Amino acid sequence: MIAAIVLRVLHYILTLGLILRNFLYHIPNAYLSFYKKNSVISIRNDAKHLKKLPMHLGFVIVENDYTFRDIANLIVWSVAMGISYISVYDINGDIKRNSFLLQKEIKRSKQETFASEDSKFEISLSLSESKEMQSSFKQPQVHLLAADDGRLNLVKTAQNYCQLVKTNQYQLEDIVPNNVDSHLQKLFKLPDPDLVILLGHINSLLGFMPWQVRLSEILNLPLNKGVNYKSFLSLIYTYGKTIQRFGT
Amino acid sequence: MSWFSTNSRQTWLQKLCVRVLKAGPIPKHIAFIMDGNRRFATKNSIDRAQGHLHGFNKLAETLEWCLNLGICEVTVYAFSIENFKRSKEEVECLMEIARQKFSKLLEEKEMIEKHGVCIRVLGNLTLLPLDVQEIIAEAVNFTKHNTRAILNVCFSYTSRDDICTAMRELASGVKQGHIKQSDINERVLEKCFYTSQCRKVDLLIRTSGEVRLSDFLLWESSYGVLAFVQVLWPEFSIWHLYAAVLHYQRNSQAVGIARDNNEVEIERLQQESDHSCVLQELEQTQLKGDNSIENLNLQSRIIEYAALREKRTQDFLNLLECRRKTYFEDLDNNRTKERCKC
Repeated sequence: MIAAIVLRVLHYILTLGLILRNFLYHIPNAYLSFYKKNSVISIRNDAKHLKKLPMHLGFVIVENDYTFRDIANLIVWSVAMGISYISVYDINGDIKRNSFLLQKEIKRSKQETFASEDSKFEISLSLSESKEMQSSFKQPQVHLLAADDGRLNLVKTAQNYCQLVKTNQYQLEDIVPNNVDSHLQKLFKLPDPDLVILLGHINSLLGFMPWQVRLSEILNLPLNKGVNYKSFLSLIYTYGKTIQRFGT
Repeated sequence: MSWFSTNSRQTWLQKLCVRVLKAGPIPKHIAFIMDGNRRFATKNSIDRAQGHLHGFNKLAETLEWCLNLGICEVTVYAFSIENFKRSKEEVECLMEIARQKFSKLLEEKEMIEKHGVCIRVLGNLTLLPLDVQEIIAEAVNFTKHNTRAILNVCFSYTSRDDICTAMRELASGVKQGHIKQSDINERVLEKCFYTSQCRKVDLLIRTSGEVRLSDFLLWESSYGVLAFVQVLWPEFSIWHLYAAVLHYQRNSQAVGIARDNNEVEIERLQQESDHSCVLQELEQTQLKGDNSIENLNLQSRIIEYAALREKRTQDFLNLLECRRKTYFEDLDNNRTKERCKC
């Protein structure tokens, strides 16, 4: 009995220690850059120094202490860097449901960042239901995703193939990774994410696009009272430095 | 070196750590991406084959640590389908290690029985040389009754290949009329994976500082905790394992909630689908002018339908599992026969 309590206490101390360490580690870059305004010119300058930029950047919300302002800022910074595909995944679907709130925040954040160039950048949100998109080519796309865009999508794909095979429109042997992949790419109109940023401390994808995350780099961006540009930039830098040696 | 680590003594400090960790939730199933063998070889200027051997020895040690912690199932990524693209010499070298290690395992039958070890090999084994397939089959067949400690070796595996294999199984099941298209849900799909017999993956550890899944357990780990460890696999120590378990404990609650919600959602979707299937059936019978069943109420019809569906899918899945078992048994029998001839 006493032993159990002692062990439990030790366990708490250990956990507390880890939390403290994490906190101390993140303080420096959480408060340093608060008063620095991020103009589109300085963001573009930062992007110039990168060896590579993700084509598709996925944000996965893993903790609930985010605000729509945070998400909007992240989206606008990514667009300013020149990232063409952005997805925001929220397992509960709150963001998808309240997309108009996000749209409003994006507008505000855009004015702050782009200032006079504001009108040149159109950021359009797309929910997976509205399949046809009226997109011009260069316009960055923001996809809002929820739990049913993950595993469930693969289930639907499986059902779809069952139907096709049953009615002899498709060969069984043709259900191979390459074909399934191009089917899913067409469905989402999205390339596979190159970088996935988990927003919060939790280290799990929580069902985010299981098929597509095959080669994605997975990094954490803790939300300590709002996100700041500097810590976002450091993740993009980390991504820029990695070399992939897949399989070979 | 053997599959069973010889120096199994725990120091008092390790014993204490285990007891402290056990005050929290312990993952039941850990998956490892054992990355960094080749970089370890370069770093210590030994050849690649030696690096891979160091990696294997580390695995034997790690399994022991896991058992001591009460982790009874471990899955490792031993060889990816993409690895066939490596140089011919290296692939051959890895196959040779597989041959040696599985033969070694079969020499240690007493230890296997004593520890109750079950070995499963998951992946598209038909891509392997026949003699490797046979020796794997013998090991799998020999250990299949054990349940105390389970080791899943993903060999000639990628997760996308696994998902496609499952889709093919389902499609042929639907075509042959064993199941209906509307019977397919997340649970049925994952029961067609190579990993169908495994517990849910609680924690996935990747060593060497890479932060990708590289086509390993993409589906299975989507509601699991990820731990990316900076160290190269041959240098992985018991303390790294403890740290990873602690990391799991800090994450497990949030991930558990997400997983439970998903389970509820699966249930809801299935009920919805049952409902619409029954309505469809009713419509069809009414079109035929058959009114005799109309007095049965809808709710009981749905329950009846759900029971039938449950049985149908279970029969289909049993058939599939049986077929996969037979594959190993047949190969194993062939091997024994060949040996008799000699």
